Amino acid sequence: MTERFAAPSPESFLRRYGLHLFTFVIPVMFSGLYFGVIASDRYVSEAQFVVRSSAGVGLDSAAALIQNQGQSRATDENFAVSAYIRSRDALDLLVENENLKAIISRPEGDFLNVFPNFYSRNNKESLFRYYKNMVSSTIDGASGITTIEVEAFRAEDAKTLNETLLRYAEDFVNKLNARARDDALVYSNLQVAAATEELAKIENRFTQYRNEVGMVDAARETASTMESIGRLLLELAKLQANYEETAAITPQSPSLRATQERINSLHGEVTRLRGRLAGGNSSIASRLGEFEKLALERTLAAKTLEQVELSRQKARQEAEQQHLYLQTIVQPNLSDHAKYPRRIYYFVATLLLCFMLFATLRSLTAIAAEHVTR
Amino acid sequence: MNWREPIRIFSDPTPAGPVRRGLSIQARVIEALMIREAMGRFGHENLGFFWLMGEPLLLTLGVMIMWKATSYNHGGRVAIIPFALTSYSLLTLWRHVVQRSVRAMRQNSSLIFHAHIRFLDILFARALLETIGIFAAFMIAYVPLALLGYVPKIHDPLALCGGWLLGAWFSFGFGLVLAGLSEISDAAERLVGPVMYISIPVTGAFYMVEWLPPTAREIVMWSPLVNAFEMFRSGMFPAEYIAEWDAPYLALCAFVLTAIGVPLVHYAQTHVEYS
Repeated sequence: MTERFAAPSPESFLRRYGLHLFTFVIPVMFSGLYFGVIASDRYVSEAQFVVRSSAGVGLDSAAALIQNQGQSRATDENFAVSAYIRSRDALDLLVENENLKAIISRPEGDFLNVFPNFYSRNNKESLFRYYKNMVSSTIDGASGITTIEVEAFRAEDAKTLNETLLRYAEDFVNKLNARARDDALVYSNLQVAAATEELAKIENRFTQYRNEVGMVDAARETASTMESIGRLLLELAKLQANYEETAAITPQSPSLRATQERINSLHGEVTRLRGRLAGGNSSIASRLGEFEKLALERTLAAKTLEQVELSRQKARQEAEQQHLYLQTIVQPNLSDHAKYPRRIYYFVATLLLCFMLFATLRSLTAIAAEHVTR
Repeated sequence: MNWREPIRIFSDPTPAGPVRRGLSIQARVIEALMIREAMGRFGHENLGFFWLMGEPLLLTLGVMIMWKATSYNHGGRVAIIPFALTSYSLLTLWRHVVQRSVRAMRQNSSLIFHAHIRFLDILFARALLETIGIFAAFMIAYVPLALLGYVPKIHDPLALCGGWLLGAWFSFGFGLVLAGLSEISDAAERLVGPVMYISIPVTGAFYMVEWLPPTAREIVMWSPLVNAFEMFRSGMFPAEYIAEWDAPYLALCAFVLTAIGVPLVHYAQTHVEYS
């Protein structure tokens, strides 16, 4: 193979150093230029919070402790809030209320990091992707503490956005609370309404029946009738004794006939009253059953209403007890140091990777060339 | 070897530069080496180089039947047969590629007698043969099992193939490093066995990341092989069973290993003890 040893021609610079240039020198130069000069500072504001429920005292917490021994998971609400912070809903609110679009296209931002830039489309989907890179929310599995990090070109922007997000998260938690309370109460409210209606219906039927038979209370009616009968019988006994006394002393007394008449009429009255008490269709005894039945129904309905009302109160109490609240542990900070971009880190990473690419390609091409050069 | 010679990657087509001509020769050499390897290992007797697929197939099927028969409880939600199929296929690939790289240069040093054969060709041919062969074994096991309804239908073919290829690339890169090291130092070679054995937990072959608690997940996802396994499995199972894998990370790890391995092999060429 003689051509290898031919004198290099003037245009062979690229052939000789092309690989060095294109895989190492130029990328590293660009990387140095970008990370050294062009890349804009991005400030990070960090906040920490925990979503807690006021329930979980006594036995509950002991059970929770045992449950959590193997796996340390944060509560469901923590995940929900964390997901909400990085959701389209929160993004929409930020765009509407905080003028997010101005914040992410500040003049300080470099051409790669602003939104919209030369390669991203100016639509909602791209904005959402940008937003997810800009806001992070991580839950620490062991402690359940959620950390939100918001980055922006200005430290104040990052802080404002973070504060707003915390507020949104709190609103979200309150919404969850309202929902849980409503859900718990809706059912018992329905139950109370049904019980009340039932009681009113029975009361109505009772009144109707009373009007129908012309009697307010069968039991009392019975008592008063019995009392009258007793009184009449007493008077009858007195008259009877009087009559027999008079008949024995003065058998021709003119008052005897009158007394006899009174005794007869009293007897008739007692018989009538007895008839009213029992026997026959319109007697009190025949109505007593119906009265008792209605009274029992009324008592049952009243008891049900009482119970349902009690359980509604309990449900309300429970809902109050399981009240969630968002406790901010660390307020959003105003950063005075740009955390991103990590200039040296990324520059060294580019340098290393480019060197590796160069070394690999050089070895590969050398090995490939060895196939012909021997 | 001569690093100082001009490397012609932007050369004009006539006459072709040494690199370009070398590459076309290299391709033919690798092809020939693959056939030689398959024939040399399995010969023409009985099934011939079907055994390339037969060996991993038997292993996978055997394990599947064993686990199924003993109703081995792996604690996950996926069925045992597809889990064993995916686990053992990729695990076999990883072990075969790496193990066949160690001392490969010394074992084949006689081939270097042929001017057109370089050590990298031998290593590449072996890795490629394993990659294709074990994937074929996987498909041979998969199709009847899928027809019988024991394994789910492929959920995402691109993730399946991508996970396989990236896993193969990573194994190849690791193999290159070991091939280079085992020529330079005997001590390195002795370490391969124990390291391969101990590394089984971080391959992700016997668990799915989804089964682990969140803290363990974070640690385990640093392992490139776990990413490869999850990616490969995500081709088979629906997304709800799969942890979020990171293909760029896996590719980066594979690239870094290759970037160490290729120059190392190139360097170790001069240290091979010719037998």
